[in-house]
Amino acid sequence: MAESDRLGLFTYLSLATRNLLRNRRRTLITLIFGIATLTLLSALNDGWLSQMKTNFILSYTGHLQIHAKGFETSQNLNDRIKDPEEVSRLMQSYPEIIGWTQRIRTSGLASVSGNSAGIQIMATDPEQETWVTSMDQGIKEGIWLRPGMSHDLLLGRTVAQNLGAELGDRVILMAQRLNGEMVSEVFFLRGVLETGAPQIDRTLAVITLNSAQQWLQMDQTVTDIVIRADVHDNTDVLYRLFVQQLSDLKYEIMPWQELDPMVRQWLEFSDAYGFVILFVVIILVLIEILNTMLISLHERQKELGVIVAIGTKRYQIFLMLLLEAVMLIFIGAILGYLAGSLIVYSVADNGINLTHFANAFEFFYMDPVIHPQLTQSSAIKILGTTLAAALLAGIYPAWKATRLPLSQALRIQ
Amino acid sequence: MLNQQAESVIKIRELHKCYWVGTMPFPALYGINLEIEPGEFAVLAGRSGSGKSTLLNIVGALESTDSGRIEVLSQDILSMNQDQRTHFRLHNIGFIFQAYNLIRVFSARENVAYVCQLQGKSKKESMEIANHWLQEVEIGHLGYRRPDQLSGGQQQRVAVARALASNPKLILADEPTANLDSMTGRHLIHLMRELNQRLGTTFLISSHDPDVKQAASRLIKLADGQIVEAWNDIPKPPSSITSSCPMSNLPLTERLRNYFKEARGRARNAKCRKKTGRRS
Repeated sequence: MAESDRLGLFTYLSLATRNLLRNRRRTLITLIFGIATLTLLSALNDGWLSQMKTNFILSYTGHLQIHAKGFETSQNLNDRIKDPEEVSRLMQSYPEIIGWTQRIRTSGLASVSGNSAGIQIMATDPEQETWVTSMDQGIKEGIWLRPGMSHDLLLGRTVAQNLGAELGDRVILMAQRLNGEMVSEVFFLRGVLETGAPQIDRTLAVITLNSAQQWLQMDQTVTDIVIRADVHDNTDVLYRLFVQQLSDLKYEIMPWQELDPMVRQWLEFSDAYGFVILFVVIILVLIEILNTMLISLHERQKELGVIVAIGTKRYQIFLMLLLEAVMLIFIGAILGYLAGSLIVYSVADNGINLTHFANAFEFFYMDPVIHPQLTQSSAIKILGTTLAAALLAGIYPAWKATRLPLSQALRIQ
Repeated sequence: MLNQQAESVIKIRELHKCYWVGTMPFPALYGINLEIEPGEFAVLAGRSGSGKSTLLNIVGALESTDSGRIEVLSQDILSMNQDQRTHFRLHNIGFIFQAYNLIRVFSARENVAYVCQLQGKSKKESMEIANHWLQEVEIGHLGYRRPDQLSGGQQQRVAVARALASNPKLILADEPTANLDSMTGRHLIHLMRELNQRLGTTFLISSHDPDVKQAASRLIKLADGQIVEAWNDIPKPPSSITSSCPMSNLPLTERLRNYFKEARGRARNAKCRKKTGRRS
């Protein structure tokens, strides 16, 4: 058999392109619509997840927290960072850090005129905190903590409501000192805040770091050092750096994903949900391609029979049809992605306001206005998966074409 | 070889073919014996269902047989696999179909050039060959048109050019004038006959068009899958089959394979005859 029996790539491309232009306009339009919708859905999902992540990080936890070893589990003040300056000095050397603050966290009890409730006391530096979280912007009534005002107190909205506390009210906080002694102190309610997470707003009480250190007799020690990175993606970089720099016998370093497993699970679930949508759309695309190719195969039986009769080898037929499927989906995917991107860009700035449709958005770090976001990974995911689907969907009809009974194909009128 | 003296283009002996639809047999060819010599313009005539197209398809290595032996250009096409048959067709046989069967998305020139490209020729060379053959069939000026922009007669001329472009030794034409009006059909047959005489290419045509029959150098009439009459304007017998084994030059393993294949075919034929109550 002569090795020279071959067709140039140009001939395959030419045949595939012309067949596509002849037969596939409708399919192409369907594909473009499908991929554009997929791009928009994916951008909405990415935008929503990114906002949720940002809200979570900025509302309370920061990107990274450093604790004394075992504190996150014990929540015991004895597991504290005894020399916070040792850690704070490290912060200067990393440009990825745009802010950090020291905190004391402990549980306690709040009482206002006979009403009492369990609380989570968080003591922080009022100025430093504003570099790390946007908690100060969550003040719904009153003012943020004032530096040097040791009796200022902020309460989460729900706990304030439960206690019946109003701005200016005396609130007695009770907590345990390092030696186990229960102590109480009078604070004045200066503000009511919302973090965006109902479970936090149900228990949160914020006081200044200095007053907590004096009240609980903790000297200059703290329980948390909270760090904010310049971008989310640098969390891992910083995590690795601190793990290298700090002794794992003295400290535990926790990225935001570990600090609230529920949020992590929620984000993972949302990611998986995005995958499910992607999967469903891909299946639909696959069925569409398979359907088109099989109908095309049926319609073109005679033509395929003829080109085999005049000397086209079966592997060449296979390549021709596979190339057609890949080109069809490739063009559809690119055009669809462009169309989807245009829609995303046109609504990205103002966002899509869903407030009227779901009040449920207003909790758990969710924003009622979603700003769709195009990411490189979602582009790769959409285009890559679609092309893989095209290959899968193209293989069967192409293989089937190589099995056409010639004499029957030629007899078709 | 079936005939040691002549280098026949086609040699067929005891060819049988039966189609099956479920358990229903449809006999197509019974014990065909035939030789076509180089340069002939042979016409297979007969009614619809007489087996003309089936015979043409078998000669063109498009279809298999139940039993019998067939050599085309001294090649035992029945022993070839699919790819070998495709290769054989590409380099040795040109096809002209009743419905023209051009590739719709290609221009006339590209349709003709396509077979040359399949043969491995460059695009430029293929286009030059295509231009040459389109001029030969008198439609050189229409090379840029797509099939749907050509009349039936023009399309069939493109098909003739395509059949000739691969430089085949044999052209098989299945009812080439059936879709044409009589005047266009006559012109086409005249053109094909002229090319046959000038180039010496052998033509085997199935047709019941009287104009085609008139142009034939040999007329082979088929009825119910059998050759019932053969008329020849060349002074030699229509069929000159000798009794020597046509496959005697094959290796032993090939001969054994063919023997068992034939035995299976004979068994199928017997079953077919039994079911239909016919005798070959």
